[in-house]
Amino acid sequence: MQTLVRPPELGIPPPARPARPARRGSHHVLRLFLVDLAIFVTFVLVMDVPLTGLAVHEWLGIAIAIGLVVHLVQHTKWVVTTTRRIFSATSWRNRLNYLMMGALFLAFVAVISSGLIISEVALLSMGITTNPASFWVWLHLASVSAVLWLTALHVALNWKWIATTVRRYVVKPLASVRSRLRTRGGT
Amino acid sequence: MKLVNRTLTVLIFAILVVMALGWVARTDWAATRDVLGAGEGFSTAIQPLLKITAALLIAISSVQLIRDGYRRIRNRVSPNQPSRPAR
Repeated sequence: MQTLVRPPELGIPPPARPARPARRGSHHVLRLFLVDLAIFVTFVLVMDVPLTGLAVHEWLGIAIAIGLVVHLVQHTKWVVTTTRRIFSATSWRNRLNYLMMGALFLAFVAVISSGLIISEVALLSMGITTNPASFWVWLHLASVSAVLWLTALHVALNWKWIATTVRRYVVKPLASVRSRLRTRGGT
Repeated sequence: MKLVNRTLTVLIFAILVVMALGWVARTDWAATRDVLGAGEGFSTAIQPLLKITAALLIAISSVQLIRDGYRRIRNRVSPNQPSRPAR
C-alpha cells in the first residue's frame, strides 16, 4: 500500500505532535527564589534599625519570622534527606550546610523570640504585654552577630544556585528586553 | 495536609528552642552574658549595610577560595602517577 506524504508547500499544517509534559520544577525554583529574595530584603531592612525605626523593625521582624517558616517548609525535603544521610552517603558540603543551617535556625529563633519578648510597639498594639528582662535584651543584641555571619555563610555556600537563578530570572529577561528595545530603536 | 504538617514541625522545633532559652534565662547560666559581651548595636544607618556587605564578601570569597583549593588538591597528579592518555 502506498502512503501519501503531503509536501509542506501545500500550506497544510503538519499533524500536531503529542504535547510534552510540562517541565516540572521551573515555577518551583522561581517561587524559592522570590521567597529568598523577599527574606533577604527584609533581613537587610530589619538589621538597619537606625534607618527604619523601632516600630517598623518589630513588624519586619514578625514578617521575617513568617518568611523563615515558609523557607524551611519549602526545603523540608532537603532537611529530611540530609538528616537521614548525615552519617552515611552525603558530601561534606552538604554536612557543613546542614550543621550551619541548624546553627542558623537556633540563632534566628533566639533573635526573633527575644525580639518578641522585649517588643515595645508591635505586641503592645495587639494587646499583649511584654516583660523586657535584661537577659532577653542581651540575647537579642548578642545573637545579631551570629545571625549576620551565619546568614553570610549560608549565602556563600549556596552562591552557585543564587548566581544561576539570578542569571536565569533577572539577567536573561533584562537582556532580552534590552535587545528587543534596541531592535525597535534601530528600525 | 503535608504543608500543615511541615509548618507545625518547624513551629514545634522553634518552640522547643524558645523553651530551652527560657530555661537558660531562669538559671545561673544567664549570668554568662557578662562574660560574652554586650552584643551588637548600630548607631548610624550605614553601619549595618557596611557590615552585611563585608560579611557577604568575606564569606563568599573564602568559600570560593576553599572550594577552588580543594578542587586543585583533588585533581593534582602526583609525580609517581602515570600521566593520563590524551583523549
